[in-house]
Amino acid sequence: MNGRMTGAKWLAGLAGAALLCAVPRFFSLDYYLHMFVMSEIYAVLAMSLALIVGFSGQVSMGHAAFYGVGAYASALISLKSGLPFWVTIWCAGAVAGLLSFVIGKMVLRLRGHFLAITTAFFGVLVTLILNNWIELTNGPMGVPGIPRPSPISLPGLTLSFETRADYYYLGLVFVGLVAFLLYRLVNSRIGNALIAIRENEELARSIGVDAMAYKVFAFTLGGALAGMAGSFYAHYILFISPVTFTIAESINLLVMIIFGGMTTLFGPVFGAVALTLLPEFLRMAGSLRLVIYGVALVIFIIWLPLGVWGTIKSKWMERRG
Amino acid sequence: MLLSVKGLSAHYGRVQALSSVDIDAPEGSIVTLIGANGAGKSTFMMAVSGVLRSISGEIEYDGRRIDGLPSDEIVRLGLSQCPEGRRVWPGMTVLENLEMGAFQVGDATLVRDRLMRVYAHFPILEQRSAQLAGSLSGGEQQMLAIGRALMSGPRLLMLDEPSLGLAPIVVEHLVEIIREIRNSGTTIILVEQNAFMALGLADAAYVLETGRVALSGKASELLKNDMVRKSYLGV
Repeated sequence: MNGRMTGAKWLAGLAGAALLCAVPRFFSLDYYLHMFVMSEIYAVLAMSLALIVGFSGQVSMGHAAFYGVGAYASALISLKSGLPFWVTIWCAGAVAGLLSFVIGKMVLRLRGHFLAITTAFFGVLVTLILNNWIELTNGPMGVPGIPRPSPISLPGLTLSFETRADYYYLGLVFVGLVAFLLYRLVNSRIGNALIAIRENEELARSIGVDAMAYKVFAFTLGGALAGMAGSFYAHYILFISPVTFTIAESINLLVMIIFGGMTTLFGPVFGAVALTLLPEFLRMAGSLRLVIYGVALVIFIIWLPLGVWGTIKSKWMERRG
Repeated sequence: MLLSVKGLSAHYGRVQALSSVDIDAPEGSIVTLIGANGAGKSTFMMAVSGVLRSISGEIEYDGRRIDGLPSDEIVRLGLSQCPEGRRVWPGMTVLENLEMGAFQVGDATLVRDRLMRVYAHFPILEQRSAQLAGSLSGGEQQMLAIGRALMSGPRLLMLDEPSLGLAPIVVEHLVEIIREIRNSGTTIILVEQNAFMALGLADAAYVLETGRVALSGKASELLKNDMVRKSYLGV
């Protein structure tokens, strides 16, 4: 739509990127940096889920399963074979993508509530497997001792991954690349097909869109990206266990994209960052923290059904005519 | 014969919607299917376009069996449908709707040519190209739906109830356009409840009743047929 980049937009983008790069200088506390790195991981997860739910209109309640499968794949491969993170993150994407391809092929014939429930079921199934296939996953005890990414040095910059700031920078690149990839995708012919399917699947099929193939494609790519986010998480926290990747996390991701607005790409990023940081800001409210968080979510979802960013965008488009 | 359907049956669960229907459409003609609600007209269209898969019988298009092919394959062969209820994508602009119609056409200049041809048939769509399709009037949405079906460059265009809910003056305009489209070389299958309009426009006609062909022949002859006059024309 308004895809053309003007000079002013480039400038604003550069200024924004510079500001983001400067964040570790202003917030040097590990606690803050940890929240920012988690925001980055959630931003990738939320964008990958928005591709499935927001753009192609297929409600998935099992997205955390692909996040978890990616995390486990990456952690176990690097522990057993000694391959570096830079290789295993791609393995994580491939394994999670393959799994979501297979699951997508099975479940994407279903619509609406049926699809939501079935994806939730697959999400629970993955958690059960992670908990019970003890020889492979070490069960509920989790996988400790995951190696950090091996250091990289670029001209003028060395990232050793001994500090959280290094992860923060890597996360910025990760978010940027995923955002760029998805931006190109949703503004392409494929993106149009996905939106056409979301708006009216029969109609899309009647003009010759192979709806099933496109839905499976979105589901697979979304799952693969979630798997790569899982790999990033595993090699950042250095320990993973099944409790991180439950259905509660899938719902958390859904809330993020509903809150931010799922039919744009910035909406999910906004939702991810806001809902990662907001509960932390609310710590000053003590035991009322989660109550306030819950009430705020309900109010936002009722009053801003397009999500925060979606509402801002549609108001802005209205004013420009 | 561009389209030749033999013994086509279709059912929804236990309900038989079409039983052993034979319909032929010669190249360059307008063939109409008339009948009451539930006679099986839309089912016929969905079966031919591959959207409905639980069918039996033979569907031959351009000398080749197409029953059982997926709908995207059938569109690629040059068979395009404009479904009932002037369905457009309300949240997309007029231009985006039209471009979606050419989804399988990779060649940008060909898309441009077809767009120009659609605009020649429907000048109003060019004026409204940047407007959201949901904000168009009923008649304009119907024109958009037909225009979008033309964007795939079909040899056979199937129109399902294009006159539904339109003012008589708009229907007249539509008749002109359908004739124009045929004259530019596209064969048309017209599914209609407005029998008067359809029989006036078509070359051949089939009357469907509860899933069977009750009557068929030249449209001009059916216009004079007593049964048709009584049941469908109300005279």
